[in-house]
This record gives sequence, C-alpha cells and structure tokens, in this order.
Amino acid sequence: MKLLTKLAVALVLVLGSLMLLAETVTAAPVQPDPTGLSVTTAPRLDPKGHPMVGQYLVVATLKTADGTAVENQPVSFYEQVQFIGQMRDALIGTATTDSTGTAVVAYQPVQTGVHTLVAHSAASAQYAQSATTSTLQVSQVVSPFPAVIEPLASVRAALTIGVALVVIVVWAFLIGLAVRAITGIRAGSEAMQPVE
Amino acid sequence: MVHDRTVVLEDVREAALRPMGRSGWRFWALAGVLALVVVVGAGAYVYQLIGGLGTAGYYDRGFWGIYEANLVAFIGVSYGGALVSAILRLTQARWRAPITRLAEAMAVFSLLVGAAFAVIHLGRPDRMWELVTRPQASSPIVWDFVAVMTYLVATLVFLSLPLIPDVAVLRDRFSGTAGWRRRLYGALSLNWRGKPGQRRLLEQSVTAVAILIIPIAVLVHSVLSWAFAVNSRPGWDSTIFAPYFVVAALFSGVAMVILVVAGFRKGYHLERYIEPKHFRYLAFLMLTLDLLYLYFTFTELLTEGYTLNEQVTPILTQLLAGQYAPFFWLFVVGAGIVPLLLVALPRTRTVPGIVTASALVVAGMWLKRLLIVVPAVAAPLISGDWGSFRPTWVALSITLAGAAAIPLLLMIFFKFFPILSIYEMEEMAAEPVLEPTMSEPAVPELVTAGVVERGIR
Repeated sequence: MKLLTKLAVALVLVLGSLMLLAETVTAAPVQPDPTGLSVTTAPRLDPKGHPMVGQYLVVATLKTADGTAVENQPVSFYEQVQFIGQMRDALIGTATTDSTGTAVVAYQPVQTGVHTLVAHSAASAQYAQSATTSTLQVSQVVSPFPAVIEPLASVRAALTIGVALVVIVVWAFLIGLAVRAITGIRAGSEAMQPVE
Repeated sequence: MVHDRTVVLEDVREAALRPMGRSGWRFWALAGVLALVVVVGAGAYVYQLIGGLGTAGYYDRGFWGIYEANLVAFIGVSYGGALVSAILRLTQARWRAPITRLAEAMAVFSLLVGAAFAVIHLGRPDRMWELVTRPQASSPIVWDFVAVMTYLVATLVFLSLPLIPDVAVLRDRFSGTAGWRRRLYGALSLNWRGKPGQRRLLEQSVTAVAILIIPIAVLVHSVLSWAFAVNSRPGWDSTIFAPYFVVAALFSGVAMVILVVAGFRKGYHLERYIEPKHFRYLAFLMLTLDLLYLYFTFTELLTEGYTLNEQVTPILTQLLAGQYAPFFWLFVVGAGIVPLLLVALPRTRTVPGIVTASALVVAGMWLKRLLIVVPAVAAPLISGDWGSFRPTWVALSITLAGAAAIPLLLMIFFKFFPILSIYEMEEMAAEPVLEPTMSEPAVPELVTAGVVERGIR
C-alpha cells in the first residue's frame, strides 16, 4: 500500500513536471518575420499630371523576406539634418502601408542640394523593424511660407517715380520762386516786364 | 474828409517795431522762465540719450507714446497757422493784415519743434542720416521726412517773402547806425525800394506760395496720418485718417493762432490793431472746424463700433468705457463741446471767452493725439495683457520744453523782425473800401486793416 502511494505521488510529480515543461515551451516568443524596406522619390504631380516645382513624393515599400507586401504597418520618414553640429533625423511625416506595402508622404524641401531621407518601420509582434536611406538631389525649392503681399507692388516703380517727380517739381517751384523773387527785387525790378 | 495819414502809418510802424525796443522786466522774466523750461528739457533729452527710451516710459508694449503725439500736435498747429494765413491771403480778407505775421511765424517755429520730436522719438537718432543715405521708399517714415522738409521750405519762403518790405523799413531806420543791424537788414531787404515792379513781383510770389502751401499742407498732414493708417494695427487702420488729421490740424492750428495773437497782443499792447473782431472771425473758423472734427470723430467711432471687428472692439471699449474713457470724454467735453458753446453764445463770445476756448482746444487736441497713439499700441495683438504708456519726468520735461520753445522762439524772432506786417497794413490803408458793409462804414483808411485811426471817424 505504501509502495502504491509512493508510486502515485511520483507519477503525479512526473506528470506535473511534464505539463509545466509543455506550458513553458508554448509560452516562448514567436520570432517576427524579417522585412525589407526600400525608399524612392518621385516628383509630385498636380491634378493635370504636371510635375510641381520643388515638391516630391517619398515612397517606401515594405515587404517580407519572401517578397510578400506588408500591409497596415506605419512607416516614418525623416530627413537627416545637421542641428547644432550634430546629425539628427527631422521627421517629415508618417504613413501606413497599403495592400501593396507602399507608404507615401509629400516632401517639400526648403533648401537646394543633396538631401538624405530615411524611412523607418518600427518592429511589431509580427514584423521586425527595418530602415533604409535614400538621397535626393534638389535643384529648386519653393518657400513653404505664403508669399509676402507687398502693397502696391504692381505699380510701385511707377508710383515711386511719380511721387519723386512731384516732390522734385514742388521743390524746384519753391526754390525757383524764391530765387526769382530775390533776384528780381534785388535788381530793382523797374526793368521787369509787367505781368498781367 | 481830411486824414492825418502819415501820423497813422507812423503809428503802425511804431506798433510793429515795439517788441524790438527795450524790453521790460516782464519780458525777461517770461523769457527766462521759458528758457529754463527749455534747458531742463534739453537736459532730460541728454539723460534719455544716455539711458535710452526706457527712461521716458517706453517699452516693448508701449513703443509709441507722448513724442509721437507731440509730433502730430505741433506739426498740426503749424499747418493751421500756415493755412489760416494762406486762405486769408487768397480770399483777400482785408482784416488779415495784423495777424498774418504772427500766424506765419508760429507756423515755422511750431514746425521746427514738431520736427524735432521726430528725432526725439528715435531711440537711435544717429541713424536719422540713413533716411537720406539709405531711404526705403515703401516706408511712411521716409514719406514723412520728405513731406515735412518740403513743408518747412514752403513755410520759410511763405514767412520770408512778405518780410522783405518790412526789413527795408528796418534798413532805413538803422541806416544811420554802424552796428550789425544795419548790415543785416541791408542784406535781407534785397534793395527793396517799393517800386511798382518790386511790388508786383512780391505779390505774385506771395500769392503763388499761398496757393502752393495749401495742397502741400494738406498732403503733408495726410502723409503724417498714413504713418498710422497704412499700418494694419487695429485702431489706426482707418480710411478717414487723412482728412481726420487734416481737420484736426486746422482746428488746433486756428486755436493756436488765437492764443499766439492774444498773447502778443496783450504783451505788446496791440489792442488798437488787433481788435475783438479778429478774434471773432478766427473763432467762427474754429467753431466750424470744431463741428467738423466732432463729426469726423463720430463717424470714426460709429463705423468701428457698428462693425464690432473683434480686434478693434477692445480698443473701442477701453476708449469709451475703460481705462482711457476719462481722457476721451474730457477731450469731447473740454475740446469739443465747451469751446463750441463759448464761441456760439454771444455772452461768452468775448476775447477772454475765445482765448479760453482756444486754450481748451489746444490742450484737448493734444490729448486726442495721445488717445490716437497710446490705446492702439497698448492693445494686445497676441496675448491678453494690455500694455500701457506712462510718461516719466523725462518725457514730460521734453514735452514741456517743446511747448515752451514756441513762444520763446517767437519772442526772440520779434526782437529782430516786425510783429505786424507793416507793408500789408499800409497796402490795405492805401486801398479804399468802396462797398460799405452792413456793419461797418466805408472808410478809405485803415479800418479794415485793423487800424483804428486817431481822429479819422
């Protein structure tokens, strides 16, 4: 009887250990799928299909290792900039990948030259993080701020010249008048022609 | 009718040259007090130059204040003086002769003082020169500079030309002496002999300047208003600011002419030439301008108040019922309604009544300029906090110095030049009045020139 009891306890312990071991094995993390991110730029087009000066689209494509498009993953876009002597990533924007694994943001650089762009997909439970860079040569920029409305800009040159002429005429008239009066009176004015 | 014309004309000359004689203790006492005020103001300006505009009460939310108000007020009275004289000349108002010299001299000196406040208003007056060397055509400050300089030349010509025959009188008077006066008046009289050609040329020139100075004065004060109006700051961005400023200038200018005329009339006992009727005529002009200015004020407030623009409404509220309301209503009553009543009522339409009305107008219109400048600056554009401007002793000293400088400069000027226009008064005397009026008989003498002659009537 005692032996049976000991065997039963041992059996329970063994089974319990096995169940615990099995439980431990099922709770282990699942390795996320590795992904690959590529980024390209393209001119932004207006509704008529014409390229918009100084405006670009930054396009990132997220795929798994086997080439399957990854959908509904957020992708952040940055521009590498030098800030107080250090290189920093300045956020351009964030977009979510569509069914083709593509995420797009509009980009309007403010300086000409070579711009280094970074696309970054953060890690998730299913997919590993990935990042990539691309460069963009910008030769023409458009100010992001609205153009300053200059008062009377369309007629400024003519207006300035016109006002300047009026001022000059007034000064000439005043000085001429004074000089004429001074010289005429000083000369005695008997010789002057009477003005009707 | 026999008139002792020579005696009468000699009286005119004696009166016109009276300030040039030996001055009594009252003159020196007044000149001393005025000079002291000016010296204290000059010292305060030096202190401001060293310590910056903050010593005058200026700061980032009170960056325009008393100096801008002084600039507009003093230049405004200058326009008033010049326009009164020009209009009276062009309309050939015969009663103008005794007051034109005072009005024209006041125009020049108040303009000089007003223009000085443009420099005092600058934190860095050493950069004033850059208005010439690096002008920015789109800046109203450049327009102001050009306009004020043009007007200064016009007023100087307008004062100088009618002075030539009177300087010739001085030349003749000092011809027997050997001092500097003989040389000075000899040079300035330009060989004036009163010949027909000289008279014709002088009259043509004075008339031309009188015609020109009216549009110049109107335009110059319009330009001054545009320094405010073309600014998008609520409270200033008004389409009627130009005529509003012009009327204000005329209104305060006529009042200032009355004060100057009254002061020198009393000081030099010119009652015989500057009669109560001169004050009445000027007072009627002031009354008209008073009504016009009140109308403009009402129009301005009505349009702003009716539209209830969200940026203008707080300023309007502060002005009519807030922290600036006591000053605003003081202006309306003190400079608008009380002077109007003083002039309109026959009982108070006397020389003291008119002078009181004029003093109220000059003071009230200065206050109104301050109310144009300060609330608009103090109103917040971003945060909810109101700024303020509280003038310090520095600002008040400099302002008082400016006010004292005008009578002081006039007193000094009339120590060297006739206070009455001898030439014009003699010209008026020479022209017979052919058409009798209802109130005055046709007397071919100095009556209409303001001269009540001895034993003529």
